[in-house]
Amino acid sequence: MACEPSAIEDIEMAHPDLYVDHCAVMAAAQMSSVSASPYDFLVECEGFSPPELEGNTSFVLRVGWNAQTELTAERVRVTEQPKAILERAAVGLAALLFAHLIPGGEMRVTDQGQRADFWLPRLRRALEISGTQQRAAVPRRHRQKIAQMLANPRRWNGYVFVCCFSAPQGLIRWSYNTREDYHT
Amino acid sequence: MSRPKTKPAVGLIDDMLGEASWLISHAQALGDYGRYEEEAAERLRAACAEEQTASLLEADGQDLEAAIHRVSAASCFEKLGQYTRAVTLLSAALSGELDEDYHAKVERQRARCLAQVAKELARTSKRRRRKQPAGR
Repeated sequence: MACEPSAIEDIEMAHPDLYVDHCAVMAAAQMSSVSASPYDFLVECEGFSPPELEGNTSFVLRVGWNAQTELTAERVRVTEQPKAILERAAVGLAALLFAHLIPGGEMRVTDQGQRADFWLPRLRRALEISGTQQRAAVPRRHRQKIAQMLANPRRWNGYVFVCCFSAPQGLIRWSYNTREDYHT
Repeated sequence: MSRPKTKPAVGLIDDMLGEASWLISHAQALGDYGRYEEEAAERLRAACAEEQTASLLEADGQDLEAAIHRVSAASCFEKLGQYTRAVTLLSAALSGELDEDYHAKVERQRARCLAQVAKELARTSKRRRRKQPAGR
């Protein structure tokens, strides 16, 4: 199943409680290092299916970026740390998917030390995001992040979003995990 | 007609939570771009917003949320090198009921900040001793 193409710049208006403009640029920087615009991700959902997908748990997400973003992204690729670009790029993709596919998925950030990167206050769920360039690293990273997310101080259930930027297609493993399932 | 009791508080708290989130994310972005002075200024605003939000949450009876936002404020102050403020906030957060794991994590953060306060104190005492004229 393929999802409607999305522009990474869409995230700038989608999360009023977050400054994510730089995440859009860093996502474009990361994606343009492996592909011209647009770039495709295979998205694999576990433990849930976004309502719009009518029960499907995997789909192809096509993400594009405009010429202005591309220009800024080129500069960012030269001047910023690769690790920071990768992590913020993953946040950009998560912001895009939550805005498009999860009703009430407005994100808020927490400062370090809360054991989950973001909160979805309307849904009362936590969100942990991670980025990688190695496809083989995704399953292990995903398991680590589930444990980390579920140890959040609010004891909320939540989502883990691991985004791999690899050629020719990216991979997103996106799960919904509950404390009940994890501890049984 | 009586006014609903909680609505205005909830609206105000939600606005403050949103503002704190925006300020933290903006500070992080400035840090990513190496604009450290601006990052520090924004982080200070974020810390103050988190601290105020924590008080509002406590007044609204949301003790766990208040503690979580105090820890977030403390993390901002710690990054700014304002360890005494961080210790005060972490001590306040620890006075409530926290999940065991989280409590241990906050305790460690408090110990780390307290160690920094002790270092500052030692440095200040040393400077003062040097400034004192001989014979006094």
